[in-house]
Amino acid sequence: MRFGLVVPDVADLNVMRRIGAAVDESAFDVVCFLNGTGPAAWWDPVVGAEALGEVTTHARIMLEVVAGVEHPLLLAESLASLDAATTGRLEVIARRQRANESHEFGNNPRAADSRFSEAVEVLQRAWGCRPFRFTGEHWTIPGRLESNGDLSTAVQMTTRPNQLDVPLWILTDGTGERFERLGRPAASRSRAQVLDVDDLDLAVARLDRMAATGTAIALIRFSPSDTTAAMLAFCRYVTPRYGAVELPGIVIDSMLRHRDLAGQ
Amino acid sequence: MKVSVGLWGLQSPWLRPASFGFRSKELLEDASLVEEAGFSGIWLSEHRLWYDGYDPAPLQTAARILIRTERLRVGTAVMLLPQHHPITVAERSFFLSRMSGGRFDLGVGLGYRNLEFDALGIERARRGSIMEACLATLRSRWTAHLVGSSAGSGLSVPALFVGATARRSIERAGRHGAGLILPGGWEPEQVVVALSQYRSASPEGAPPPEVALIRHCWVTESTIEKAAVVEGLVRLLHQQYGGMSQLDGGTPTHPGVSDPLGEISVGAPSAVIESIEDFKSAGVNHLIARIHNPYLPTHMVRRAIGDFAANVLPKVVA
Repeated sequence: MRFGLVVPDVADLNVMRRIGAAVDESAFDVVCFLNGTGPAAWWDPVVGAEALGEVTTHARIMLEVVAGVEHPLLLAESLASLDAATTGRLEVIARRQRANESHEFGNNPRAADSRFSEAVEVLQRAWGCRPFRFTGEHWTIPGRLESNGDLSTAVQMTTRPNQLDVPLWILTDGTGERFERLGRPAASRSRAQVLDVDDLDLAVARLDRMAATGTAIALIRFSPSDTTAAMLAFCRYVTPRYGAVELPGIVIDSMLRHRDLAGQ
Repeated sequence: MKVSVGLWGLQSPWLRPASFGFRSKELLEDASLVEEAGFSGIWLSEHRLWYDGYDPAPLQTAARILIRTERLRVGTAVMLLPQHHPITVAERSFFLSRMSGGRFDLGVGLGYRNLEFDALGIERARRGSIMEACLATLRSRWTAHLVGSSAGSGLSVPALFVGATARRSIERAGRHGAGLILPGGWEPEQVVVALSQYRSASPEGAPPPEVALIRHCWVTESTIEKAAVVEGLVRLLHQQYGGMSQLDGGTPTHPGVSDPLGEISVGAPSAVIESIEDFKSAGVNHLIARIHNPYLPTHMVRRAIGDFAANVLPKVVA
C-alpha cells in the first residue's frame, strides 16, 4: 500500500514550505490536493499544487479537479503546465461538478454528467499533443465561428505534459459506477481512500482493514494544527507496518517503545 | 517610480528551443536574480496554441515564483481575461494574493488572436463586453471575500491592472478603477492623453491607482551588442507577433518592425534614464522594463538585468 498526504487548506507560503520539506524527508509517496473542501477563497488546489510541487522533489502530485465546470481545453492546458513544471509528477482525479458549483458557474446541474464525459474526452485528446477537433453537446473545438474568420479546422495544445500518458483517476461515489469506456481507474473506495488520522492506534486498525480490501493508496488527512509533526509520527510508527508482508515483532516493539519515549 | 522586469512567457522559439520544464526552471532562477537586484516585481504573459509552447497558465507560474521568493511582487501583463471564466480567475488570483501576503498583481487584457478565441468557442468581436462583465465579477467576488472574512486586515485583494492601448480600453479601466498597463511603443504625449481619458471615464474623476508602462530596455555602451539586441527585438516583434497574426489570416507585420528604436530604450545608462524620465514626467509611475526576450541567450539577459539594476534602477526609482 502507498501513502499520500492530503494537504491541508493552508494559505501561507511559509507553512507550505515546511510541509514541502517534511514531505521530501518522509515516506509519503503522494501529496494530494482535494477540491471543494473549504471556502474557495482560502484554498485553490491548483495553485497549492503548483507551489508545493515547486518545493518538493519526488512525491507524486495528486490533484482533484472538477471536469466540465468550465472549458475543458483550459483545464487541459492548466494540468499540462503543472505536469511539465513538476517533471511529470501529476496524477489527476477528475470528478463531476456538484449542484452548488453548477449554479455558481451558470451551468445546468442536470448536464453535469454529460459535461463531465465530454470534458474528460477533451482532456485525453488535448494531452495527446496532436491536432484534434471535438464536437459535443456542450463544446465544439475549435468553434469555427463565422465571425472569427476562416481558421483551421483543428487545434493542437502546445504546452505538452511531461508524461506521455498523464494518470487520470475518476472519482466515484463507490456505488459501482462504470467508466470502462474511458479505460481509467476509479478513485473509489477500493483503490484510493481518504483516512482522517488523529489517533495513530485507530489509524492502524483502519489501515489494516483498507489494506485487506485492496486499497492501493491511502490518502492521509491530519488535523491541520500541526501537520508536519503528525506526518513524521505517522511515517515513523505507522507506515513501516505496511512496508513488508510481515513486520517482525522485534521491530514493532522497538517502534512502540520509541514512540512511548517520544511521548507520541 | 516602481521598476519591475518583464515579460516571461516560457516560450521555446525556434532559435532557442527548450522544454517547458527547463524554461520554468530558468524563470525561477531569473526571479531570484531580479529579487536580489532590487526590482519591485516580475511580470508574466499569456498566450495559447502557439508553436513555441507559450505559457497558457500564468497564474500557476506565479505560484511557483511566489513560493521561491520572499519580497518580489509577481504580476501578469497581461492575462487574457475574456478567454477564462471570471470566477476561476477571481478565486485563483485572490488566493495567490492571500497566500503571498499581497505580493500578486493581476494585469488583464483583451487578447487579440482569432485562433485563441475560436478554440474556446468565443466570438472575438464580443471580447470587450465580456471583459466588462469579467471585471465586474472580479471586483464583486473580491469585495465579498473581504466583507465576509473573519481574517480582518490580514487580507488583501490583488492590485488590478488593465492593459490598454485603445481609448475604449482606457475608459473601461477608468470605470472599474483599475491601474493601467500601457504599451512601450508609445510616445510620452500619448500617456498624457490616456490619463485624461481615464479620468473622464472614472466615476469620481480619479487618476489610475498606478500607471505602468511596458518598455523594452537595455543598457549597453557597445554598438555591437546594441545591434544584437535590436535584432532580437525585431525577431520578437516580427516572428512572434507577426507570426501569430499571419496564422490568423492577418499580415505578418508589427509596427515596431519598421521602427524598432521607437520601441526600446537602448544605449548608455544616461540615454536610457533620460528616456524613462520622459515617461515619468508624463505620469508613468511604474516601469515594467522588458529586458527578457526569448530570442536572446539567457546569460545575456541576466547580465542586462544586472547592468540595468546597477546603472539605471537607483536613478529612476529616486
